[in-house]
Amino acid sequence: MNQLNNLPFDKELISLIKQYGIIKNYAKGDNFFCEKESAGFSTFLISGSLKLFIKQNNKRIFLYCIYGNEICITSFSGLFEEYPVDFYSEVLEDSTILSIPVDKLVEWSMQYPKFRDIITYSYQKHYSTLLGVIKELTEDSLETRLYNYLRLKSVHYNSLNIPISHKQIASDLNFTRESIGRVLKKLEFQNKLRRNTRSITLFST
Amino acid sequence: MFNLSSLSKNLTSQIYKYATPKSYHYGDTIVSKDFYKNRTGFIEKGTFKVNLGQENNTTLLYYLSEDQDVAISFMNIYTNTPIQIDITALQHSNLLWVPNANIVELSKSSPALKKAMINTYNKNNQYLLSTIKNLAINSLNNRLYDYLLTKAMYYKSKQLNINRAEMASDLNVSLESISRTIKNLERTKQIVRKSRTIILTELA
Repeated sequence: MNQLNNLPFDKELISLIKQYGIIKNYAKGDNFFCEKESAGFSTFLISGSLKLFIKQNNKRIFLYCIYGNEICITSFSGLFEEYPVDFYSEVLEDSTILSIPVDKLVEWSMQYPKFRDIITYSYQKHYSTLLGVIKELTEDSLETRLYNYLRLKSVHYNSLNIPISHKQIASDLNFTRESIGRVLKKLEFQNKLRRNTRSITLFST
Repeated sequence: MFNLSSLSKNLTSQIYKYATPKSYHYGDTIVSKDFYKNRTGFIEKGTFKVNLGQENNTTLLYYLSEDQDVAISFMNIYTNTPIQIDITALQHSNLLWVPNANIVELSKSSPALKKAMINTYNKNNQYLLSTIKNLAINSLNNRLYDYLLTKAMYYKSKQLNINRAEMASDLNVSLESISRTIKNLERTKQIVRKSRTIILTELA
């Protein structure tokens, strides 16, 4: 509950959140379906980071990462209906999810402008980012997608050296390891990166 | 179903008070990418197609209709940012355009409107997730068939007047791929082609 004291809201709202909200902590490497965990609640990442996927059968489609440095919605459960697509998360670093009953979400967004603004901004950011994912899927070659993926990873690690395996990249981008290996070789030939034993070093972002 | 008619009479009358009604015919552009529109369009009647607004890429994202959706929101209610999508009317449609400033004011005193807007944001994001799932996981065969099924649902008819160019544009594939896939669907008896129409056999 101490994490709640650091939220950028009025003391009054923080007190209400402590009363009605539920905190759940996840360890690095945990996996969960965001929608199933949040029936009747709106959920927010308030610390840590998550990798978001769509999952169907054995296929995982990597979408993007979200970070707890800004409060971020982690599910799109409708207030009145169920939806068919589950948002699936992998915890990148120890994370904290705050769940708020949906009727309280509505009530507080009417009373507390900063809370309202943060929620609305989060929805808008997700929408914009999802549009970007669609553009990538429909326009970009694997080469471009892989390079953009590594650049984002570099930002997350705050380093040009990224500790990552071909297997992980293949899983995230839903391609075979062979395809990833081939494209990495091509990017290396173009002097955009260097392949190391268990990492990849970008030459710039 | 959560749509305009499911809102209370009191709330609906407030929306009408601030709204500028506008009618559209089939094929009319509601908005295009990079335009600014600091309004929300409540759906009184009709069906709309939402596409990615790129010059060389008009991938179909989702549909909006009077039955399933309350409003067309550009996800810019507090920030007047440029629109990232194209929206077209698929039939004679009526929208009630309400300035976002009025929606913000109304929402302060109307939990129902606040819920409606949050639900709209949830739905818009969910629609995009469905689209990504379709693009990334489904074969073109399945994508085309789902696309035709969805069209049949919105037009309330198993018989569709649709040309290959539109299908190719919406699914962001070549005309040749569409032709090949249509032949596959015909071979598996999922569709029948008659003149310029496609008939979905499983909706008989």
